[in-house]
Amino acid sequence: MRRVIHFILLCLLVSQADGESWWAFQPLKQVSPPELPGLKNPVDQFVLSRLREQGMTFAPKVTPETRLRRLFVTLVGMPPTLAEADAFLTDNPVGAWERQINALLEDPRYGEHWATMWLDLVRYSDSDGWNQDAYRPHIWRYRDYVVNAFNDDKPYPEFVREQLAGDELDGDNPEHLEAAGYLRLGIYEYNQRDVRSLWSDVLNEITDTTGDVFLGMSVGCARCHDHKFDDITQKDYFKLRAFFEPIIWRDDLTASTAFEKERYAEQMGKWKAATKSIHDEIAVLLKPYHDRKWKSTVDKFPLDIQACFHKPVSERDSLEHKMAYLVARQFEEEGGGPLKSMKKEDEVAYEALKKSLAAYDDLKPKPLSPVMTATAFDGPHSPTVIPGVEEAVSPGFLSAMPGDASIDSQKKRLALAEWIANPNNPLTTRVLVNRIWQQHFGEGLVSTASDFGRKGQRASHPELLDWLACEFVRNEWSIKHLHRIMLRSWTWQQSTLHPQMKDYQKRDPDEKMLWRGRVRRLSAEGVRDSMLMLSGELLAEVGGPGVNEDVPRRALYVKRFRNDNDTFLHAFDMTPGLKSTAQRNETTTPTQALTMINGDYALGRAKVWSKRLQDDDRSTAMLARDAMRSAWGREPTGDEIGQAVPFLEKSQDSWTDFCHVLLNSNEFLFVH
Amino acid sequence: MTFNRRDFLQTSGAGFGSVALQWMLHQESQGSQHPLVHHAAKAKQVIFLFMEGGPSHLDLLDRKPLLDKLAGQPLPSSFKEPITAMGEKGAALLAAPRTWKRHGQSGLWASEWMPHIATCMDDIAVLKSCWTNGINHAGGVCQMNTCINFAGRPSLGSWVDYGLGSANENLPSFVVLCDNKGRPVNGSRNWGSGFMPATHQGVRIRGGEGEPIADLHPPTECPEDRQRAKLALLQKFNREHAAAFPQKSELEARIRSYELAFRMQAEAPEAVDLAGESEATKALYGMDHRDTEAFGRNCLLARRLVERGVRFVQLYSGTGSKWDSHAGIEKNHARLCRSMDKPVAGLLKDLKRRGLLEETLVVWGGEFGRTPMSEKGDGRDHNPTGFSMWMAGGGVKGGQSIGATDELGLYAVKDRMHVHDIHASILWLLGLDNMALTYDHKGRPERPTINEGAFNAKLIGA
Repeated sequence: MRRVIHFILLCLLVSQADGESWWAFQPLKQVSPPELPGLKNPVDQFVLSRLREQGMTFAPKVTPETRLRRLFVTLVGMPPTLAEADAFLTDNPVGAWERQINALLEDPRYGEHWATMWLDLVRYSDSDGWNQDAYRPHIWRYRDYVVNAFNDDKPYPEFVREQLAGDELDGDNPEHLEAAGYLRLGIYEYNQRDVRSLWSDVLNEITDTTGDVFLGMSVGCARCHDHKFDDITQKDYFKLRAFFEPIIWRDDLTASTAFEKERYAEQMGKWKAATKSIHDEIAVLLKPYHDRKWKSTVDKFPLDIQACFHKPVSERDSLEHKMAYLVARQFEEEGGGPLKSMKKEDEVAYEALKKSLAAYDDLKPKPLSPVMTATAFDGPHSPTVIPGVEEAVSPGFLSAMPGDASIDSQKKRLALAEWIANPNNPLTTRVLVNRIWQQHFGEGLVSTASDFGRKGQRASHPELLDWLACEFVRNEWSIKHLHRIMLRSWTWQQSTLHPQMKDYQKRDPDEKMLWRGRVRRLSAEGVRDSMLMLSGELLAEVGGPGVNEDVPRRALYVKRFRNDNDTFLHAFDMTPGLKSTAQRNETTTPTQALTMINGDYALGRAKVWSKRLQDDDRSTAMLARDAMRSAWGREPTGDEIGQAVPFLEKSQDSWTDFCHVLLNSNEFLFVH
Repeated sequence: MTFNRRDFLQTSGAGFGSVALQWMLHQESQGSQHPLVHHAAKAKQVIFLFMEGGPSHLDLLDRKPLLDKLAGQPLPSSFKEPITAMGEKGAALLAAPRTWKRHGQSGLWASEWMPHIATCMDDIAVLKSCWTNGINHAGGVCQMNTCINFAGRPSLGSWVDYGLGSANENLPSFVVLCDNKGRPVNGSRNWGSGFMPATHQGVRIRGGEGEPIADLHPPTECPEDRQRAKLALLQKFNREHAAAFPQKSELEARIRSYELAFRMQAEAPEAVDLAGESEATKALYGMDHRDTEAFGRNCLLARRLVERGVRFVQLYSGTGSKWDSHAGIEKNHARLCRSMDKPVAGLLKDLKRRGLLEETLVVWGGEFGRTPMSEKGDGRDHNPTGFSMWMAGGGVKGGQSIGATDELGLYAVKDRMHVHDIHASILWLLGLDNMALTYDHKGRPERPTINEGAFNAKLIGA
């Protein structure tokens, strides 16, 4: 009854405020693009009809070479090489653009680039993020999962289900376990004794992030009070959190196939049998030390946490099991096994035993591929309690939104995923389609891409947004289909210059009407990857564990540490991986200038690049032309070549300096 | 300024010529700043002396005779047993074997571990009832910097830069100095700008030899004439490019960023060059002694930076959690106090005699204090529930003690000041209202103290 009254009150409040419920919660409108003679692309039909209403029109299309550079940067995150540019510019113009789009959508670099958008949203990082900020050696499998999902054009509902509930789908499928790494992406470090608060913080943070990422709603405010602006109550918040309550973290699962696991078990059995007596001896030798270490570890925790730890697993609920896990993590992380304080004679004996064990190494199977993932606890699930109110709540969906799917108590997160990835969920598709739009145009149709609530911006073209969302669902939730529609539009191919620019800017100062293209800076990764491409150093390997900064692989693969915010990539606004980020800041700072003009990295790339140029025996003018073309994506003018040649002929170092100037130039760093 | 600096640079034809540079610097110093403050500011800038690892309030400022009396006994049952970081159960209380004296006109207590700061007590307001949520270093240091123990929010210095803007754009307005080559707990995240643009993040400056700011100078392999020729060609390309794309503020901004970088290149080394400081001044900061040299240098640099308009200077003492003293607190604290005490007193005195203390708020403290209970026999565990900090200058009424902990210094009990209140008070003294200063992020008006905290008016004697 109370709930009904609450709902009625809410409706009254909402209707008083707006006359109807908030637009983003309303069902998608089935709209057709306005008929405009000569226009076939629906995006253009929507955009141009709005422009015409204001007596405005599109800017002209950009030149083919500029358009190509824009396309490469948008789809694969770096400009074309000269060879790629020449191939396009000399291709049969009929269908060349479509062929180029399709080729890039099949290029593995596409997934590498588009993964970044998602990794920013889910605050991906390779490190723990407290003090020690240790490297997470297996989380890269989640990153690769995202790269592959984009490359394979995985239908969005699958993408949602696998991340939120991979373990509940088919617990043995390596890909599903990797995807469920989503549940491990938050910051966590083992050395905290107040594990109860720590775990509550972790759950809240997963809840906040899930609201941001999948629903485009910042639910975080409702943790402490009913949302002041949106129809999200504190109870809604904790209902959402309740889906995640029974999660337990798993470090014992592998991303190996059933066949590999079987072979591993078989071989392991052989090795164990052959070494049983040695293992027994080791166990006897280490037992007192292990016991002592366990005791000292456990004793440091508050008594209620110690009680969780001592309870048999079969009697624990999910929270108790989680507390016990967090205690055990400390034992392991603080070197539980190999022991510092062994007696001399025990140490000698231990070394001897290890040596005799090593004699059987050829029997020992190679380790499987561990995966950082999570599953639901298979015992009783502990309740979610609203703090202060002390009211227990069950998992449930946002009350202001449609959906009353029943929730399987053993597959709670799968129910959440199904509710999110349902075509009738009005937020999911609008939010995702808008994110994709943002990556093409620099700003979303809703400019606050993770806030579709009342504090966010309304859509500049609501009908276009809904049409795209419906079209997305109609085409099997294919993101590549969206790319094709957007990239083939005049809207996307417009010049950044408009003949009536001054007048238009007065009439539409925020440029929401889309009457010209936007100048954008290369992303942090784009700057680094493009420099490596120009210098010829970039390695084409896809996937695998993270690498150090000095390895010439794409920035995507450089290990990201949450506590190191002063790297080259961070100077260009890479996210720190702490909070979900829908749109990066795009700053212009003296620090960037210093890094580029004085720092080792850009200069180093310039040196390698210039060496490559100098090994070529064509004329200085020809080489200067090539260099400028590859950095700027256009034919340099005679005047520019005229400036370059005398500069290059000054001294030995001039080539390096010239390349360094190009890497620093605006035309390299910006895309038109 | 009536003259556009870039026009001047262009028409002078000098690129980054030194004549133009001198002229610009002069212009810059004439231009007065009008920060957007919410009320009349008491302070213009902050020097935050951060004792990393957690100094013992019980051994420095918060005298507890009962502690010495009960030493060796367990915590009386009338005190609630706290969750401690290291979790030693039932540990005996540890005496604070200090020599305590009252100092100055105000008669504030200080122990023999800070004899120099003790001579400044009339300028200092001691906050004896601070508390925080962070039980371990990562959370505590994060909270003292960003108001919350969970990572991801902008640092206090970023909020100050965001709120007040720069008073000298040739220098970063939020600067961090560490007293050793180590890395503080949480690394550079402590001075990160969180969800704000990177423009507001702190910049670590290194005193002594080497570059004060990373990549400030061209590499040695690239002599000045080469660098000049490069910059000339670069700006030529950039200007032609910008001319072809008018009304692109991004392109203009980038051209300007190179000019700013160049001016920083000229001004930053001067700001950190101590050659012009007299031997007497250096001695005042303890730079003439091995034990006090490192922190003394940083304190003197801090004065030079605030003189030049840097808004927020944070100095780490014991960088890398060195104040942490789970065992052997006597030896640990004696050494760290020695390294910090004279330099800090020198800073206060130097600021005062130059008339800078009035407009410079000096804040002293760690991420938490230490327990009255012992750990490992002769150390103390972390105490987030009650500890001391102090403030001086920037409109703060000195010679007073605010708030109190219980009789053993375990819990803050009177006039409790959470980190939210401490940050709100620092902002208030700078003319910023912690509830009115907002940054829109994901549909929420974010505030520096997370919608909590209040100015403690006792700080200004109200």
